[in-house]
Amino acid sequence: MNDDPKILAFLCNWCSYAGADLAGTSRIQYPTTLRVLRVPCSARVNPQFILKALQEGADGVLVSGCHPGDCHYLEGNYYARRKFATMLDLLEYVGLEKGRVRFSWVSAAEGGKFAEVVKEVTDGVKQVKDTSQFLKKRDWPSE
Amino acid sequence: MSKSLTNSIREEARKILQEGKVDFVIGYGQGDNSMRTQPVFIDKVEDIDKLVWPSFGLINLANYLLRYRTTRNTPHKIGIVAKGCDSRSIVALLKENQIDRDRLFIIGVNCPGMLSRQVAREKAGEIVAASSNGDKWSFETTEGTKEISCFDLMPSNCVACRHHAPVISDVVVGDSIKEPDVEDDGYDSIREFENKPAPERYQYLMSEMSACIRCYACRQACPTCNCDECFVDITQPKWVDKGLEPTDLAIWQLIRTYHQAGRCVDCGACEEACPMGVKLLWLTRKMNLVVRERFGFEAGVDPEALPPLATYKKEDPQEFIL
Ligand code: SF4
Ligand code: SF4
Repeated sequence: MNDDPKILAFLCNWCSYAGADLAGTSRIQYPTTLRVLRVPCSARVNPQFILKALQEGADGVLVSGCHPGDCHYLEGNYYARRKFATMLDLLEYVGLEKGRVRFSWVSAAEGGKFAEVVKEVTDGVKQVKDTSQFLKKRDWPSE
Repeated sequence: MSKSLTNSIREEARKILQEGKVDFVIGYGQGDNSMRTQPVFIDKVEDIDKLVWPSFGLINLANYLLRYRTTRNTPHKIGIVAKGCDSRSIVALLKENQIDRDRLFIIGVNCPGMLSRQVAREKAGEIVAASSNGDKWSFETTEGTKEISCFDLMPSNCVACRHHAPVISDVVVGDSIKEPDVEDDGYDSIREFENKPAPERYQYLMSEMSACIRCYACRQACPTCNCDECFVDITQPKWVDKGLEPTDLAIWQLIRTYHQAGRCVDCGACEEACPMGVKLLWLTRKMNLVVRERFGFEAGVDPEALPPLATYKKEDPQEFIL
């Protein structure tokens, strides 16, 4: 149980980032667990980024983009969806605890949904028993 | 070494060299002992006897086509010997515009399966000398002599193989082989592993990878691990640190596996090449299963189909997205 998790969020510039902004300007309360990183498109997020985040100490990772059909670049999120599905299946196969790596579609008009997503993702990450999976050992190789 | 396949390969190679259809032929050659196979590049008919059909031949010859990539503008016309999985890798490379079909002459081989040095080492121990007699091999080991049947020396990927026949070729040698008609689709061991508790699976990943010495032999052995600059070699930004820190080792192999999505043909060359005996197919094969179940795709089988991560369907499942 981790009461104050750090979650790295990759939010696409055109939808989810604006959705987060709307949640803020509408004064909707949600957990303060996110560290937001703005990206041009969910397809910009190389699955490698996710592993790097876990390695560098993120308790959880959220990638959020536009709903299918709404991508600013028309089809970026469709490609992203295939990449994430593939990577997520592989990570769960090698025993990554469920709830640490999450994905969502949040549009610029969905401030409320954004807050809900953050709540759900935060609750999930809090349940994770072992956030040391994939955490880099800084003192390596001293024994 | 199978006599008849060796003879037919030599015959076909001689023909295309004499007729001037190719400048040279890439094939299997005898390595420095009876359990080693190396690629040979034959450009003279006098050298044709260097071509063999190997027993321990878990290398993927499509790999050597990368020296003659389209972008390198080499003028050569190339003959290549290709078993089932090599031919699938050729298809995968053609799909990615790495090589030109019209500069290739493919001598396809109906492959009865290869034997694995890794398996032999696991079952026999430290091997000093090896010789074959019929359908058995006998190994001199540090603990005495052991006899093992050829079937028991087959690697898991050959046992599970559904593509003994080349999928693309200009001529085919060898008797056609009946594809096995059994329940196990080759992924049973993967599903079994999936059913273990997550911490145990993570433990397994870390313990397998802890043997890795970052020699990259697995990458070099693979025809579809062919980027000019591999992500592990990039230093700005540095994705994976140099050295043997455990998460770096695991992430190195996970990303390599991810990059094989829809491209790995399960030839087993990577696992066979590993000097540390790291199990790699349990990862790549999971990737193959994911690609098959999610996108209905099998690498290197259909020359027309787009690689799965280079395309999409609007109705792709998205049960994992909030
Ligand atoms: S990843 Fe391994 S099994 Fe797959 S194509 Fe490459 S060398 Fe062959
Ligand atoms: S061949 Fe084996 S030891 Fe070498 S990099 Fe690959 S997994 Fe590591």
